[in-house]
Amino acid sequence: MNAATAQLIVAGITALMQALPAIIEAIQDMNAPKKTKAELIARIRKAQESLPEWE
Amino acid sequence: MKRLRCIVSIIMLTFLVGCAGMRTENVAVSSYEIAGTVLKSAQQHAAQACTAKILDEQKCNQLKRTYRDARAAYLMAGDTLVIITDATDIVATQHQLSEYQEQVARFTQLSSDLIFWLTQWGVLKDKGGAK
Repeated sequence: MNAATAQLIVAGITALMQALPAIIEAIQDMNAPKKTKAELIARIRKAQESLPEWE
Repeated sequence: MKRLRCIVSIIMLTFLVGCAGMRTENVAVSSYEIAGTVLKSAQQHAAQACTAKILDEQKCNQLKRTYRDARAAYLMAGDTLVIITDATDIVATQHQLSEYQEQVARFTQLSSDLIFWLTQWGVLKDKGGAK
């Protein structure tokens, strides 16, 4: 990994923080179709499973 | 260094342009996925450095502890994000949102620590050779 990758890591974390206002907006717009919600939840679960345990 | 900044700028711009056409929930989930990918990448490099004995046991244990805590915060944030995404009750969701913010703040702190140590200990290097 080089400095560019490290910068990407920081950018990723920043992106997560920047998502917070978007979530607040999402709370006010909860009319998303059930199918869309199911897809988003599936993506979150997949992202969670992709992180390995480190023994 | 200019080249690195240029590459990062292009990637961030691509991400932001992509986000512009998405629903807000989608932006949150995409950001969550990106954060997970970068943490996974950091863990892989840390694990390789430990396996290759580039880092001593004490440093490896420190990295492991930090990664485990960051992973735990990430998983909790994901569970909370699922509740928020699936919610229909605004009051309950706002409570979950504040929990999510706490978990993200913890995740950010731990991930930043992990990256700082990896850079400090020479696992993350600039291609030009500067640490």
